[in-house]
Parts: sequence; structure tokens; C-alpha cells
Amino acid sequence: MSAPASAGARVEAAIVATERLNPPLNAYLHLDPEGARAVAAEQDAIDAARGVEAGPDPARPLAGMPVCIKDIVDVAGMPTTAGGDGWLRRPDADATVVARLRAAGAVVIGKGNTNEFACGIDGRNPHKGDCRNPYDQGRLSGGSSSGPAASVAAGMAEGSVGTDTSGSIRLPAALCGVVGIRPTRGLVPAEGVVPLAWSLDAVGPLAGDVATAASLLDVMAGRPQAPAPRPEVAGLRLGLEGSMLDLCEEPVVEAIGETATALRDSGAEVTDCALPDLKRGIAIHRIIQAVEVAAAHAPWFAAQRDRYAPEVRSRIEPGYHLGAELYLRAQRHRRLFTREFAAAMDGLDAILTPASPVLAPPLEAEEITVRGRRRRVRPALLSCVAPFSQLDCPAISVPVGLRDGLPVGLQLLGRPGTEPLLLQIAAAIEAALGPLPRPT
Amino acid sequence: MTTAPDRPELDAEGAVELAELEALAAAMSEDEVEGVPPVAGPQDWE
Repeated sequence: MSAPASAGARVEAAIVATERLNPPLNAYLHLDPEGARAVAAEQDAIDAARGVEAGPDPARPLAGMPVCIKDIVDVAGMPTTAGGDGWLRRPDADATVVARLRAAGAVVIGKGNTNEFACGIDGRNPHKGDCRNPYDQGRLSGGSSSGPAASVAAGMAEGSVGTDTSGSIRLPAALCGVVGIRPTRGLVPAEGVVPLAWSLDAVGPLAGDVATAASLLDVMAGRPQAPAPRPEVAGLRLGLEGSMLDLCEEPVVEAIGETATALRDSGAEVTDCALPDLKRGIAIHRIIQAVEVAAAHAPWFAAQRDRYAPEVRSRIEPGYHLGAELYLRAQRHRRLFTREFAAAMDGLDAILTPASPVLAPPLEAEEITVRGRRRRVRPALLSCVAPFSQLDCPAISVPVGLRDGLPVGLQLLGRPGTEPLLLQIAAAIEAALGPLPRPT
Repeated sequence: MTTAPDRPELDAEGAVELAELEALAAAMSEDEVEGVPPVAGPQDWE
């Protein structure tokens, strides 16, 4: 068995990839190659002092892992721009998640691109430039954790930190062919993260494979490393909701169907299930998000209004008009919706859905045709992820193959705190389907 | 000390968004959530 690659070699490989691929993809807004090389050298020095025979350091489970941090998350010594026009803070302390990653030996390569203030799902940014899909640079990466997803897919990082309010980890993970975890809300602390909507925001990892994502999650949650998820689904009952598939384009339906077959072949029972009205779920989510985003931006919005991109401004501004009564009514319906969803999960271990109804759309497209019907891109991309973002439950997007050269993502939903079970199912999918071919 | 914007005037795009949100809110029945407190969290699953 060969020795694991040194931190220096892994970080250098990521830096070389950024030199070649970041100019066309625009996955990083800020890079610090010299700082990363210095930290990698420190990690290698610690390993050298411990000696090869000591094996992996349990105190540094991510030793030498190059990571990308979404640019709404503070990294000491690097600017936080939140993808905005002129918005800037220069933190002298790491966000809690970043401090945990660094203590575990991870090496920050730079700050990842994002939709303006994480308020978007497509990965486009008029101020900083669009992040492009590594599988086809003429297509959307998805967002708002666009840079974290694209950097991992393109080999410019082995793992990354994203945030998910409406689907901003799961959707770009699906379009870029990586694993993305929206953890149980509150599992990963949000200190040092620019808020979008407080009661919906979740911080989570993205990675090229399930084991790496699981390892990142343990570190970000501040808990001991669990063993790598075992790819075992025998005896599990998994729900698959048919009506969501009716909204998807054919290649997505085909990939999800093949995955369901692979899970059955591995011993799982995959059964039909019925979910609460997802349109109602999206309505509840939109109202809560609009009010909370408006509140988060209130300190500077009036003075900076004209610096926002029009589409982002139009999502924030209505929040100042909706009022407390409508907000609280939506929060009460949210609780009802959560109860209905929990009831739908009765007797099931997890629920399978598509993470996106479509393959990555062309960059400039405002509308796409799905099964002969014209749909606006934004609501289409949100349709499979946003309804579940208010449930406080974990959700994982895992790649389930390429169709027409583009990745398809499957979403796993579970009860709060069941990340280990969802990761086990994700690992079984990964084992059954094999690794996704990386973009060339 | 900063102050929240006082119901800023909306441009056309914002007005359309607000109208949509108000329509969505109007469709949410008050009766249906009678007695349901406006709190959400993982505890709701228990």
C-alpha cells in the first residue's frame, strides 16, 4: 500500500487546477495560494515529526485537505464580499466552521463564488461574474453555493463549505455532480456566516464522494469522526414520490429509476409514498424567506438599495411590506407542514426525490422546456429542494450518473439527526453506480 | 445605530413579487392553524 499523498502534494494539485480552470469557471472569488502552501508545509511538518509509523492523526482527520469556503463565510485574513457590489468585511477571526476545519488540518485555498448575498439558485452573479458548470462551461453551475460545488467538481478543492437556505447546497451539488449535505438545522453553527434567512439557513459540506462529505460534516459539527459510512441498505424502507418525477425531464427520471432499481437489488424496499402539497410548501418558504432576508439586510438596505442587482432587490424589498401577521401565519403553516411531512415518513427510513428536475440549463436561459411545457428556470430549479428547506431535517444530494454528459442528482430526506443513515444510503448508491466521471 | 427601511417604494419587479407573496399568504387559512404556535424546529418531529 502506498503512503498517502502529502499535504503539500494535495494542495499543489488543487492550486495547479485553479491556475488552469478558475479563469474560465470563476469558482473562486479570492485565492491565497502562498498562504495555502505555507499551511500545507506546516501539516507535513507535523506528520514528519509524528513519523509515518504513527498513521493518520486522529486529532487532524482532514490533514492536508484543500478546501474552498463560500464567500459568505468568514476566513480570517481573507475578505468576505458575500458576492455583493462593494459589500465587504475583513474578519480577523474565522467563522466557527472554518476554525474547526483548520484545527482538523484542512487547508483553505480561497473563497468560493456565490449568488449575491446567497440570494439565488442559479450561480449567476452580475457583480463578480457567473460561476460556470465544470461539465459544460456554457451551462449553469447552480447556486448559491456555486463556487463550492464547481471547485470540488473541477478538482480545485477536495471539499468545501456551503450554505443552504432554499436548496443552495443541494442544487449546485446536483448540477455539478458532487455530494452536498444540508444538515439538520442547528447541527453546524452559523457564527461568522452572513445570514440570508435565520430560521432557514443551514451550513454544510460538499465533497467529491460520500466518505469525504461525512468526514467534513463530523468536523463541522464539532463531533468525533465516525467510521466511513457503510454502503448497506438491506432491510431499509425508502419512499419514492411519483408526482415529483412527473415534473422532471426524461433523463432525470431515467437516472432516478435506475438508482431505485440498484437500491432494490441491494436489499432495500423502495415503495411509493405521498408527500404534503409541495406548492404550499414553497409558498410558506417564500413568505418566511422574504421577511427574514429583508430583516437581515435592514441595517444597510435603504442606503445601498441601488447597488443590488434588480432581481435580488425585488426578492428582498417585498419583505418590508408583508408585516408580522403574515410572517407568523406562514411560520404556523410551516409547523403544520412539518407535522404532515413527519406523518408521511411514518414507516419509512428515508425519502428519495430528484434534487433537480432538469440537467444544468444553458447559462443565459430564462425559460426551459420540460416535457413540452415552458417553465421559468428559477422556479424549476427550486421545485425539488425548496419545499423541504423549512423542515429542519437533513437532506443530501448524491450524484446518480451522467446523462447527455451532465450530472443528475438524487435527494435523500430523513428525520432530524439521521445524517448517518442518509450517508449510509448515499454510500450504497455510490457503491452501486460507481464514481461519476470527472469533467475533462 | 441603523434603522430599518420604512416600507421602501417598490419598482415594478418588486411589486410583482409582493403581489405574488400576498396572494400566497391570503391562500393560507387562518382556521387551519388554529392553536398551532408559530415555532418550528427539530422538536416538531417528536
